[in-house]
Amino acid sequence: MSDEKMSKVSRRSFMKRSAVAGAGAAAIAGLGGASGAAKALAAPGPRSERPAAEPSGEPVVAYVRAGSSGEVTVMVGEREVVRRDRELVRRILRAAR
Amino acid sequence: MSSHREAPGISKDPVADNTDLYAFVSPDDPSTVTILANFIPLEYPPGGPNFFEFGHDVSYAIHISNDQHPDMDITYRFRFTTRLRDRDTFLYNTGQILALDSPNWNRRQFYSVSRVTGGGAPAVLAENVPCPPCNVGPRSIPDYASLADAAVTTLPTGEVVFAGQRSEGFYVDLGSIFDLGDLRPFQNLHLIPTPATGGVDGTRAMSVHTIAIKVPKRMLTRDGSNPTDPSDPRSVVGVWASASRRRSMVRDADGAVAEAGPWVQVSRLGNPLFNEVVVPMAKKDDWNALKPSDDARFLRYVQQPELARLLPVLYPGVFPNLAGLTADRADLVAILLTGLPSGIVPGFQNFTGNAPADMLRLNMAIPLASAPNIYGILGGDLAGYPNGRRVQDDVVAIELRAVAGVTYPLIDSSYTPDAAAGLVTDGTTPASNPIPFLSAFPYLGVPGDGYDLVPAQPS
Repeated sequence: MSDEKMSKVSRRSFMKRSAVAGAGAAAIAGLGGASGAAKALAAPGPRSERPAAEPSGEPVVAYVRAGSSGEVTVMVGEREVVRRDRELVRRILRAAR
Repeated sequence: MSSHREAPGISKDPVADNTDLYAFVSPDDPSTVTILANFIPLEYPPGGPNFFEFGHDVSYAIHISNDQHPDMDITYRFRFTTRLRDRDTFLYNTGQILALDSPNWNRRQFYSVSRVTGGGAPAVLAENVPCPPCNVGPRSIPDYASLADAAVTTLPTGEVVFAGQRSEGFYVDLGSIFDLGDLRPFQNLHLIPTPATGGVDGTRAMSVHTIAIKVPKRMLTRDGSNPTDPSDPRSVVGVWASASRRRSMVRDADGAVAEAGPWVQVSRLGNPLFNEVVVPMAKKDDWNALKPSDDARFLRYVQQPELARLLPVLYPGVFPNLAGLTADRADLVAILLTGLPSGIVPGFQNFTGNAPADMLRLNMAIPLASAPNIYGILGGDLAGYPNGRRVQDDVVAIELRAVAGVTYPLIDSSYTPDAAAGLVTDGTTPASNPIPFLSAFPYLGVPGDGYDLVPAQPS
């Protein structure tokens, strides 16, 4: 696919629709709307690798590899943020049912 | 093959598949080093209408280590974009392509080059550098060589770059080697014998996509010095290449793809054939995801290579001394993982420290050979593989001979290699491919065109 086609994609609509199946779990970037993902990024956490940033319309992918770990990896742009947030992971898993 | 389709995972992702890596002092410009990183294996020249191209979603990189540690001290990164002129045609070109900005060329690629030094922020050296098209055929592109020459670009910082289709430079008898290790010139001695014949170049007339960069030597040494002393550790650089993809990719219902997350390495290459024939199949995908600095975990496969155990079985009675060689292969460890220290080969070293790491190691102070020998150091030519790798070097024969025991006397003078070890070849040579190498950058030949394709034939 050329870059032109990619540019036609509404990234914000993608954000609301996308779902990624992980190994044993699923994650939805727009869970609760884009603001939900932004909140997750802004929440304090012990394993934040980079300062939180506003996704600014880019696709956001959340990945729960193992729900029992309570960890969710949030990918945006060329970076990722790993959060240990059992409540957020629980909500993602519930949405994936 | 050298590293074409060498691992289960990357064999399904040809756009990111790093097939060959070369690093050598530029024969026509010896104050510089040329590095070539090839991708996309076995391009069949008539393969239209969607001809081969770099991945706009792949980050390609060439890494240089210059401080005796297998970490990248300099990285050149290449990113590609694809542009369509006419969205309402299925054609690659709607008429003749006479220039890189031809309005008849529908699907073009451009790239950016950035340089990262010492883990710092990337410096963008150039953007929107044009690639040449694939060589469609003489009606579409009547003067392909000139068109490709126009895509050779000098950067403001002094490097020269090219990215585009080239003739496959790696020659090898694929069909025989993967048929139970057959070597046609010696197949009368094989466990399942047939009359000996000449080799067949399985990559003959195929093409690849090459990222080429020519860099002044002073820009590669750790202190900006000009390497003139072969014994000086500063004269040696380690080189490896990689391709990376974004960590996540989501396919949308309309065919669009969205990506997010950091770049994750999916392919790498240092020495030819390392992942191909040294690393076990179950670990090949892991190897592609790791850095050379992680290669200690593959050390035992070099010390006790599977191929060295197979040769005496496949060729009964031909390799009796190799069959009795059970010690760890310190010679192969030096060639592939550490470089040769001083005192092993007179006048030569390309040692980069004791940490095992698969990299091409080039001693930039070794003078150009007046008469290059395709067997490199094994042929008495210190400017050839495993001192870096030139386009014409017969890396298949060199590595087969080394594994067969020819280099073991370097670390144990009491060992006598089998008579056959120094003669092993698959029967192919640079002359097996009718498309010649070039005498100037980017050195790999003009890719064969789709119309005039010449299929593989016995050499």
